[in-house]
Amino acid sequence: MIDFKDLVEKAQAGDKDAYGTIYSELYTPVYKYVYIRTRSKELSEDITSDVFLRFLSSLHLYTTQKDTPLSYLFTIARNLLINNGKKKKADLFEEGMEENVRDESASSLERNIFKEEVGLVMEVLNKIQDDQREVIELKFLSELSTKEVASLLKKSEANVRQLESRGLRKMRELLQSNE
Amino acid sequence: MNKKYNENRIQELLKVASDNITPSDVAFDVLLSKLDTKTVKPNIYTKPVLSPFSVFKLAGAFTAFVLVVLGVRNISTPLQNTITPGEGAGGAVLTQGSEIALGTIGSGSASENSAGSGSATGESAARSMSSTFAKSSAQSPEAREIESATLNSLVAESQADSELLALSPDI
Repeated sequence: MIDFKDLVEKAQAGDKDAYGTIYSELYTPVYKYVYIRTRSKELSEDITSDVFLRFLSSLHLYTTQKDTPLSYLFTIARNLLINNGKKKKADLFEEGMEENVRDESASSLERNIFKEEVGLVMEVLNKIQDDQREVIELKFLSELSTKEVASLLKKSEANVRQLESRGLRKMRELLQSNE
Repeated sequence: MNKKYNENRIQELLKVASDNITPSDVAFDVLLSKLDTKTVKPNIYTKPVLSPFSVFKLAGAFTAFVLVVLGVRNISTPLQNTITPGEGAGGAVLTQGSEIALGTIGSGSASENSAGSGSATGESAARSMSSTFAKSSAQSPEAREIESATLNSLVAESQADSELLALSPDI
């Protein structure tokens, strides 16, 4: 288990290796979070790089008592996304999707069905309430723990679990009604 | 009701979606090259020497000090000015003498209420003035004559004043 607080303290003291570890460990969750909102690889990479640049340049102001590094990074990302204000209505899955869904044992038809299902789930995700959607995105797409989501959204863990449960139920209802 | 989509299935599909969101490999060196290393400072919080509020307090204290100093000067200056020649029994010339003369004038003015005592104090003031004059000037015989004449006239004036005071005790 990586001790991010320790890493941040080292980074604050000027340890570049500590920056490197923080970056490599937290880049992907932040990128996923940004990508879900922007639906653009290029824009997501730009924003995620910007998030880390801002994090590193404001490192001397950051105190480990207040936030975890991840929630701090997500807060920066949220602010940048709000400033960016763009939501690309493109297909969530670009060229990479086909590769990952490909299963040697699955037939072409099955792969297509699976891809459609994922696409449908993502479509339905955009139709539920914002607070529920945000919890589901952070929990299942950015793969944060309930505690991290609660810290980021400034909600209790019970509240996060409730939003998650209601969101999933709503998605199920919407998916079933699509059938 | 179609049971195909339950919460677990949805979570599974979301996991697949998450796995498909893969960032390009952005070298950390590239990021570091963008970063101005000067902006990364050690997390040493240094309290400012003077907060804006304490600057105001300091300015206020200084202003108060200046006002007090000016006030003291303004109070002391009129006091010196108020000890003017005409007030004392010794007369105008006496105030231009030394500290002894001023002290005599003080006693003279204090004893104005009592008739008769003004004469004595006026004379003592004149005597002290004459000693001061004798020390400070009169190098030539002419000067001495003028000086003694002035002193004589002063003594005569003060005697006349005291006689007048004795005649009219109500003044």
